[in-house]
Amino acid sequence: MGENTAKMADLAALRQMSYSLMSAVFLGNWRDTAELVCETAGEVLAVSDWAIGMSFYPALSRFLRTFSELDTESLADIESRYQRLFGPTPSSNPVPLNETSYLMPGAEETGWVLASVERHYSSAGIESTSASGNIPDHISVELEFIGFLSGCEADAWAADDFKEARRMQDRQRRFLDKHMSKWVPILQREIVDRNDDLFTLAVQATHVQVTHDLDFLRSLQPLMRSAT
Amino acid sequence: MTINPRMNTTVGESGVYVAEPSNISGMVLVCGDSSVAAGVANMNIDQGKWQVQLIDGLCGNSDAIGDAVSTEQVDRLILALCQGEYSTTEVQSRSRRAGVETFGTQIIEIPSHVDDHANKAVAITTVRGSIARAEALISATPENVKTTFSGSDEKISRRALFTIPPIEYRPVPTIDISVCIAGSGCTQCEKSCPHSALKNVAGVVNVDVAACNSCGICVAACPQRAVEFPGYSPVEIEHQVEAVLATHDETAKDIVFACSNSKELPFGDWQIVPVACAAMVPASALLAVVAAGARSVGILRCVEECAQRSRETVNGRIDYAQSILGRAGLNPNRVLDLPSSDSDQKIASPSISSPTQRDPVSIDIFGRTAASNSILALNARTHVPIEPFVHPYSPIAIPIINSSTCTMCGTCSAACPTGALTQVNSDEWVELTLDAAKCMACNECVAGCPEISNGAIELELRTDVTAMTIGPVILNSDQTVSCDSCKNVFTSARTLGKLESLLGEDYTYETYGALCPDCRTLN
Repeated sequence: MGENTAKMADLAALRQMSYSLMSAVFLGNWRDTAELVCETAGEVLAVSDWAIGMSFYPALSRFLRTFSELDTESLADIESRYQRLFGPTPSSNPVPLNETSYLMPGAEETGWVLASVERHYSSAGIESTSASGNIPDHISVELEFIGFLSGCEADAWAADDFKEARRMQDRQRRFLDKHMSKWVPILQREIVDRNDDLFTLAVQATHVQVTHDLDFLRSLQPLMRSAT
Repeated sequence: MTINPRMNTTVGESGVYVAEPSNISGMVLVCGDSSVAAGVANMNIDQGKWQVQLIDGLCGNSDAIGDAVSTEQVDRLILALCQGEYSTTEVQSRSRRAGVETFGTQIIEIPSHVDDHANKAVAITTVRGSIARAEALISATPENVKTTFSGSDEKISRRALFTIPPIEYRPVPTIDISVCIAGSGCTQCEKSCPHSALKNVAGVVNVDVAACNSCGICVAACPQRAVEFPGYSPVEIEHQVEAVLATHDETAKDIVFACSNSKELPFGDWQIVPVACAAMVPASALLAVVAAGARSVGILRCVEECAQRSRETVNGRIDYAQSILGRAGLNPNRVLDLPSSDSDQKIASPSISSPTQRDPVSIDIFGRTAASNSILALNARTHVPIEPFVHPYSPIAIPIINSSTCTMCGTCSAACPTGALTQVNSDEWVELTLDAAKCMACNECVAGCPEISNGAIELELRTDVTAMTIGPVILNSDQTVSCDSCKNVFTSARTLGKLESLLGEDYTYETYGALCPDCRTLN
């Protein structure tokens, strides 16, 4: 009767899709990607209903549904909304989208945060580039990275590679613990204060997902370690 | 009672996780196999927000939950079940899948066999109380949710872990920083936690989710009601008790605070108020409920030695409450200890005759003045003077100042989290005053006193109704010392004297007594 039959691979794959989509939302390249983001939101929503009983799902589904149903007018407006919130316009007080702004306002420590995130990236075998114009501690880069790790975990489960799946979970847990869980809740409050419904939904879904995943992976760790 | 500020807004400090009371949609699903099912299904409730549905065989078919709530959005769910054979994890999972909030599901027991009027009325009162509790539910923020896996104590195979193990979500506390006074040095939640999950770090309380055991003891310890604990928050518990006691019939006489892990629930007239742990029930809860007109109140524990190591604390609080009742001329047995039992024998309600008169109630169970308010309410009801007495589990106390060794440095009043001790400066005098009604016996004043080795302050765990009613009294006073430059008062004569005795020949009035620290720095 109603047993949970969801697979770890499905959950990791859902994380990969969600984080990648959230990354695109905060990237700010809306002129080129708006339609693709909305289309992808609908596709992720369509394949995620198995997760309905999990605590992150209400926030995620609200975000996905809203973005998948955006009309043409909203799509045209979203670029300017993004710029009003996050853009470097002289008249506004933009919400910073990089970790350093929230955790380490001092110049000396900025390097420490950047070095730390870079270390996480390089230990996973990847390197951040400046091609996107974003610095390594930008929310989009960090989301893309955690999405990448989730994808690696999903692949490992699919390949029946338990050890690799556990290794990827450990990497995600450490990155979420050391970085994203520390500053995404503050970012969330900053954006909520600006009363922008679309980006509020996006940052809430991100906040819920990050918090859930860290808690989930922490709770799962002893089971993964002791599994025979 | 304080209204939960988070209920009044959709955009709160923690974001848009909060339902407006007017937006709450709730459903009561009643197992049709119960003998009182029809009576409960036909009860008169606020139809705008709540629906009641009767479902045959609900106890054994959690799929029915999804079917029942699939047609419309429901965020609060009350399941009235008659057979204790369901899996709580499974039921909660089903509820969440049906769109109910993470901690928005309550399971209540209704009779399965006995069919008489009294039991139907009891069940209806129970549902009313649960609805009130559900409406007061604090919506969980992501930080309030802890994932646990059923059966995680057992060894599991790697193959089995390819499938996600059954998940149970438990609440963990978060701190409302807008009212928390950790920045002033309060450490009540930290000290109360049996698992060292809370830490005051530089004035901010950090919650270690992994260490937290979801016992809720910190909720009872906080003088500011700053601990948010969805499912067991002060406002939810108080709303339920109020709703039950507001029922003007014979069905709301006996209230039991029951540990969520207790296996056997009492029967009879008991109205069950779930708590996360028996140790999160302060003595004020027991006294406030009796003062509000309940015939009896009990605490039902899970096991004798629970994970929170709370046996002595619970025993002490019950003994204290019984002592108060006895001194107020009431039967002490109106406060009962209901130890958990693994046997099939259920616990009967007590045979106590008592007044049934009730006034409209406002229950104050948690927070800085809950204890004194409950004692004063009891005193007002019985009109029997409660003589002062000392008890090791007294939730209120009287700080005793030794005026010959106290230097009036102000550390005790600065450490007091409730404002019971205050130090007021005038041009010539500094006075340390006590408002005994605000004291919650936390001992912060004693712990902070730099003259403790000289016996400058001690805390007498004395309940003194007279002291609680007379308002602030002066415990000690001294002449002030003002700055020669800015003229502001900056210390007391005794503090300066103490400094002189400590520094000996190094002390000079010109260096330490003439100027305040600010002007001294400028000069």
